[in-house]
Amino acid sequence: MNDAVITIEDLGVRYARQSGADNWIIRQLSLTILKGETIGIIGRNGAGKSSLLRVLGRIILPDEGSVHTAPNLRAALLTLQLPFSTDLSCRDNIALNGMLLGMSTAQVKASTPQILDFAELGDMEFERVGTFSSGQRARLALGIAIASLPDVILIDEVLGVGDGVFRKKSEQAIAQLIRSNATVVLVSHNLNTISKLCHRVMWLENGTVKMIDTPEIVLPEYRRQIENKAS
Amino acid sequence: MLKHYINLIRVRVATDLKAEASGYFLGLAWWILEPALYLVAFYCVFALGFRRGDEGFVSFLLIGLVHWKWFASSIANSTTSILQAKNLIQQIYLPKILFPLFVVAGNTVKYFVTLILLFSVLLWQHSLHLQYWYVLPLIMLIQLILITACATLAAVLVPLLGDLKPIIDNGLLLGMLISGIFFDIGDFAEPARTYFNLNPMAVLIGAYRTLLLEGELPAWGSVFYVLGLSLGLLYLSIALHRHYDRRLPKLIV
Repeated sequence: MNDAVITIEDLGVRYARQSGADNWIIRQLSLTILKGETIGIIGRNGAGKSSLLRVLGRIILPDEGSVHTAPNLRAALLTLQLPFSTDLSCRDNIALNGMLLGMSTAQVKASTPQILDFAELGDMEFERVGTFSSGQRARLALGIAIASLPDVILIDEVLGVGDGVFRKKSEQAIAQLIRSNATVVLVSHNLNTISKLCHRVMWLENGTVKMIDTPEIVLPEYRRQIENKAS
Repeated sequence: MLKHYINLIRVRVATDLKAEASGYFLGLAWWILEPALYLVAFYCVFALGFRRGDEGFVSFLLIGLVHWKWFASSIANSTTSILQAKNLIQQIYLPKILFPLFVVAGNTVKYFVTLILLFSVLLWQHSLHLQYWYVLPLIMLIQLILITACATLAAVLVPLLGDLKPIIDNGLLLGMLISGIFFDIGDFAEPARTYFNLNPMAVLIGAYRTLLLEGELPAWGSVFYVLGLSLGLLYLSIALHRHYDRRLPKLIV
């Protein structure tokens, strides 16, 4: 866990308001992400957490500063919001969505049994996804997302969706990923999850870094501030 | 990466067509039935209803309609292709130009199916001349470049300028009336003929008719004008896509 895979310097991200004025979501943020580490990002709504993940996933460009990534490195959001076609079979949806997430046709072919197994849909390979329950679709999405993992996994509250059984399954799968030395950036409001899974925690406030250190140091401070604001 | 995106287009087109067919009782038969009904509707109105001209009018009309449909369907369905994918493009990075390309590729497959119908009718009408058949793929390729340029341009501009969508929709309706589908621009006097031939689709439809109905070579000056225009529009479209590719997710919310 020594090599820097992503280095961010003085990052700034802004969105244009309807009035035409600039609304800076992130300002002067610097961060180095090391290979194999899990970084938790915490902060209140609107602190800039999701925008930071979108910059890391190269979905949007920064408006200020720079993002350097290791050569051929792929960072992508672990998403469960896949565009399933309800008229297509489970197998066709795996092929299409796996490829949308960057898998080659050969990788899709090789991973299909493993995805069906993870999603507990082994006997429904040729059934239309339109006949699936929301739970089955969520499991299928997670199965495809896990099979198509990039070098740096960006997770935005994916652990919080679905019913109790799915949440447990997704937590276990992601905990397993993290322990397998994957590089992960995890955004979550669940401080217990952050505490259990992360090597470092970055606390964002109004788009800037308020604190970055180990969970043992950052989380008590963050909890204290939340309690003070609530009382 | 280019290979991956080409494969993605192939898989997306195959699954889209499969999904489309699965929604109907007659399934894949609609690939033939849908364009056949479209052509029959126009045939009834113009050849039977208006009793236009000689027997050759059916072949004349169908060549115009088939090639116009390929163009117009591709553009009309591409205008909102990026907007419709707005949830996806907030989650994963995909070059935005892929979304109109999915549409163009799907419509090109459907065009080739319609082409079988067209050639069957031309044979039945004894109006097919294939002396210069080898020029046909070149004209088709030029039309594909024109369609790709216009479709990708419309797809990137509509999210930036919302008012453009109704303009394009009505422009396509106007285009259908002025592209020489229902009349021969060659019959017009100058300068009207020159003005009408500034429309690239009018030139291409004229070229298909010259090749297939008269068995002669098209006017190369006009054909190369369309090629130059199409390549220019494609260059502009690629430049716009490059600029807005990672900016669009911030603009489409």
